[in-house]
Amino acid sequence: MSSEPTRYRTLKDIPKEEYMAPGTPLCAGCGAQLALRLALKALGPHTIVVNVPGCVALFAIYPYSSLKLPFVFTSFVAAPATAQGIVDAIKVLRSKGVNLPEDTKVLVVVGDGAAYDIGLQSSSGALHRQLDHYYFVYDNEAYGNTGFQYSSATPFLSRTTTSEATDRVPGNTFWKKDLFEIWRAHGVPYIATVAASKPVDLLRKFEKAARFKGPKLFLALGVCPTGWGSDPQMTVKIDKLAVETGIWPLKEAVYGEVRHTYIPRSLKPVEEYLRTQRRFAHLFDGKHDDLLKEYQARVNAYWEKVWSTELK
Amino acid sequence: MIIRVRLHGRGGQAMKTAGRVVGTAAFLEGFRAQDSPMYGPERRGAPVASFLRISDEEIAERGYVWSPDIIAIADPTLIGDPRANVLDGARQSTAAFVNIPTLDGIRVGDLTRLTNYDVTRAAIRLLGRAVLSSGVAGAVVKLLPISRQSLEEAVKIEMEDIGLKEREIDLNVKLALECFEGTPRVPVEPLPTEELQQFRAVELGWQPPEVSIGLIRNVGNGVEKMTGSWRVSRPVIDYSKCTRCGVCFDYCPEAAITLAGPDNRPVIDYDHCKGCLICYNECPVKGAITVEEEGLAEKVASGGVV
Ligand code: SF4
Ligand code: SF4
Ligand code: SF4
Repeated sequence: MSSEPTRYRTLKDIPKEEYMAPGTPLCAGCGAQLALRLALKALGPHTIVVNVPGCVALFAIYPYSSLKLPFVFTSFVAAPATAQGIVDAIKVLRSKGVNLPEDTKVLVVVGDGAAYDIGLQSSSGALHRQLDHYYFVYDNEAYGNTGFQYSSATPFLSRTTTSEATDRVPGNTFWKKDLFEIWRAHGVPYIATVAASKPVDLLRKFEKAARFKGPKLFLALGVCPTGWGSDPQMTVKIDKLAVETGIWPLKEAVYGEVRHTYIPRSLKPVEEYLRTQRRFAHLFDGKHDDLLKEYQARVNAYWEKVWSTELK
Repeated sequence: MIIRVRLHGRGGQAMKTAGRVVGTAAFLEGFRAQDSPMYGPERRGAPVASFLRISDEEIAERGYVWSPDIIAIADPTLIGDPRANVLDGARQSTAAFVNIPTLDGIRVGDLTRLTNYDVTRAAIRLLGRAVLSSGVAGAVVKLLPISRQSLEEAVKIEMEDIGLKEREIDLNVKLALECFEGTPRVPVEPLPTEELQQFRAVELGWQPPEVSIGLIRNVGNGVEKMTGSWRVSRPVIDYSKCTRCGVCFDYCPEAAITLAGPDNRPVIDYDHCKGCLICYNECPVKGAITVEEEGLAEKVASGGVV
């Protein structure tokens, strides 16, 4: 992406404007909140936010609102329809001569529970209709707002309150659903994964997405000290480790063409990441080495493909 | 006779587990017991509560404890916090346990049956962290007709259940017993069920949509919520070392740091900083951000405790 024109070259270019008011009800050290705060800086003041149940819904506990932007709260499944309604209303207003800012955008903000599970069917509909909107998923890899229950975004071997680690089961035994690829199959203009520990990459992706009409989809890692059992001050470090171990690849797909925006030459061992979180603590009792190897092998296989296709 | 207990703490202080331990101890002692945490939207550091009913007869109530016979306060800064509402439904005869070194100068409404122990210090000494569940449970059990053995057994069961290792379980048992021994007993007078206040559902009449849909016109007014009280540690910037690199501003999830003035110096908004310490952890200059423990004295002085 370095060859493309951009406002964002270094950390110094992170805009000073804030669209989030301090004093939110979210947990101290919430990675999802950081990712969203940065994303809003790129999206700017003319963003209309649609949100569903999840941690971010706490931004609007009546009569308070933590975003300095219009905020519509709706049910899990109704977010794409709500966004469609707003997009249509903007069109109608413009056709009646109402002067709305050129860069008025509709942004759907949902957690992984809504994106991967409960709202997948309706968002698929919106992608199919090529609805012109932004869709931002803060992926804390479980139902964080209700006490950390398993979702289909929960990674392999993670302990959640509904995928306990016992003598017989090592936590969640399923692999994380590949939402990026599901989205890609819809033939939408822009898809990207982002991480709060790489703010310049994050800002550039939002900047780039603005060129396209149609669905612009973002998957942000949401380090969750409360659910993951990690130290709040380690949030950015853990986020960085997710990227550097290769567990959270940074990539984009423009009309389906995938390109990684950060390609590590060598990967840090997945253990380095897993050890920072209590949800994986059961893996380090000496009895789970095979599973840890399986985890590492899966990550390696992913990157070997990337290295052979993109590092030529 | 039902004894009703309400435990108040902050998210992260493990009041839910404290309630579980006391409930299990009561059960082992032969009582019927019911414990449940509050489900609320607020997070680590925010006021939370859990509820407990102990009885020798069937318990036909559920949910929030409106008329507590015992209140346990794990964090004294909650006493004056309207959001915590620790005195809700309390009577003058309600017994209150406060996690504080001394009761000198401490008032909990007009309650007269106050007792205390410094659970935090004991927890830090034994566990290395201010995890208060076992300690507060020990103190509360002291006020109930429950034996030391049942307490000990309950701590073991519950700590094992949350996955602690043997050594940690032992330390938690020590903590519980220390707080049990150290907390002076005060009499508890359960309110007869007949005298329980009856609560009726609130009736909501018709309201025009401008009112009933909860439309927030003043966007960004969340800033009125002072989440600074969640903080247990305070990041402090030493401007003689700070290079104005802005990294702390970049990574503060709360937008509690602004870059101000011609030199773009980072300024921390202590009314809202939650003390996650990401800024401290990410600052590339050694010593530019240091961490201070939030002193209780300071919170008392700022009106947090009444
Ligand atoms: S539960 Fe996790 S994702 Fe939700 S607010 Fe807390 S830290 Fe953030
Ligand atoms: S990160 Fe440290 S050196 Fe950089 S601006 Fe903040 S306090 Fe100063
Ligand atoms: S501790 Fe630092 S990063 Fe965390 S909320 Fe306070 S100012 Fe922000």
